[in-house]
Amino acid sequence: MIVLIICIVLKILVVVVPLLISVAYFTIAERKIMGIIQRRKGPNVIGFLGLLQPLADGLKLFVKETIFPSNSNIIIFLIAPMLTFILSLIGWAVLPLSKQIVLSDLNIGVLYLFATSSLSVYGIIMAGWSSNSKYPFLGALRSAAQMISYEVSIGFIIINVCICAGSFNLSFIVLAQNNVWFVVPLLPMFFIFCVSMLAETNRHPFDLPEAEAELVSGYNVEYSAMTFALFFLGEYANMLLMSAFVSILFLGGWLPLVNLFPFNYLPGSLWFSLKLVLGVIFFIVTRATLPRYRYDQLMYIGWKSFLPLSLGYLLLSVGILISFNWLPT
Amino acid sequence: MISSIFPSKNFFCLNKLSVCSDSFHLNTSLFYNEYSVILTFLFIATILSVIIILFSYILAVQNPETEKLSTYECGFEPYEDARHTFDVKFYLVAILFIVFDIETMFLIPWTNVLGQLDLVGFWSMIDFMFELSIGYVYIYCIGALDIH
Repeated sequence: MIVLIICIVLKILVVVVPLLISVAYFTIAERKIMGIIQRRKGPNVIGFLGLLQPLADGLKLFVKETIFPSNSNIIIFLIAPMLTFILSLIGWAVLPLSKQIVLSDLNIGVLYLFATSSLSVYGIIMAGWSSNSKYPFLGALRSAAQMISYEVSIGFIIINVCICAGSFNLSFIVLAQNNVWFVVPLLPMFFIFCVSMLAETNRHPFDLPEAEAELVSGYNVEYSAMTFALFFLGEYANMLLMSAFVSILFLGGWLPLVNLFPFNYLPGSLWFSLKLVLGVIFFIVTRATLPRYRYDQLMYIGWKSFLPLSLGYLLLSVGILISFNWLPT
Repeated sequence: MISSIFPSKNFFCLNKLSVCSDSFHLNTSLFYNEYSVILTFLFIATILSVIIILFSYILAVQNPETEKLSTYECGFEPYEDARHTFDVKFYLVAILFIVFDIETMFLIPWTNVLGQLDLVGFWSMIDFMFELSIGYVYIYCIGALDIH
């Protein structure tokens, strides 16, 4: 029993530690790529080409003073960043990193991921309410409204993929894309999912909650030191999670580009990480290139175009699958 | 009719697991093999976040003072509590979200058994979606989705 538990703990650490390291290097990749796009150098002092910069940033945040504002609810104030961090980590428990390489091969893995990404609204609401300050409160309200708006269309897209795959198991969804990746038959859904995941993680063209010019920094204004760092880590881990999710749902997870000799010789985890990096670059390039949306435009896209479009596409694909008898049994 | 809408195959049975007909046995094996890992993962994530905050709080120099701990409000003293009123539009968005999210949840079991349903099972859900779209057109027309 003890050996079993130690085995499980080691397996989990093998997932969590590289995840945290990749979150750290996500931040430096973001700063470097944005530097290249804006024709400047980016961080290049600490370590070789600035590669130790994230460690220095983490250390700096670690030795800062943790501030609990005097009129905040300290318990909720403390729980909020922890909740964000925990929820962004536990989503990785069901992701298949390669064939047979998965911590927990849940039969309802898609629903589990959907639930964890929905629950992350609570971290933001709790942070905004417990700070008892105007900027965090407004930021949290906006953020929560935005996240739940886009979750509706994400739900329909997930249902669409599940109908085509015939299962909620993530490994099974990947295996169902053996002949053709779902990005081909569900191309409009892929685009909508990419935009919705930007809104779901409060990323750039939709980063209204953190609009620096109006709300300083949104729901995490009052946070400092490691409580802030947990929010930061949680957000970036969430972005990695959404990249992994889109690569599993649409881009064929660990499957190679074409099932021919030089491609299928490479390990599946390499293909998975390449697709994940593609998602990361998408997040960074959209941040560097697009201007910010106005809040009513943001809600307008979510409710008035994405929701009817995803519902209509669901009806279309179900109709095609039923009438040609292509449904997976 | 009932048996065609609710097929005998357990909804939570996956293809690879459907060989074991005893659902109790299936559930226990699912718990020991899969959900125990998630539970352990939850514990580890919690412990990790507590460690990060606690060690930072203990190791860093804490030097609180009144000005530092007051609410951040761009220079001037905060003169009222932040939690008084907010725009009712946010509340409306949450209510609309509940309606459409429940629709999503209602569709989810249907997607998994669609291959085994007859046409009644198919058309009843299409009818449900159609009626919900009437509701959607209604909230679109009365302007509940406009945020100013």
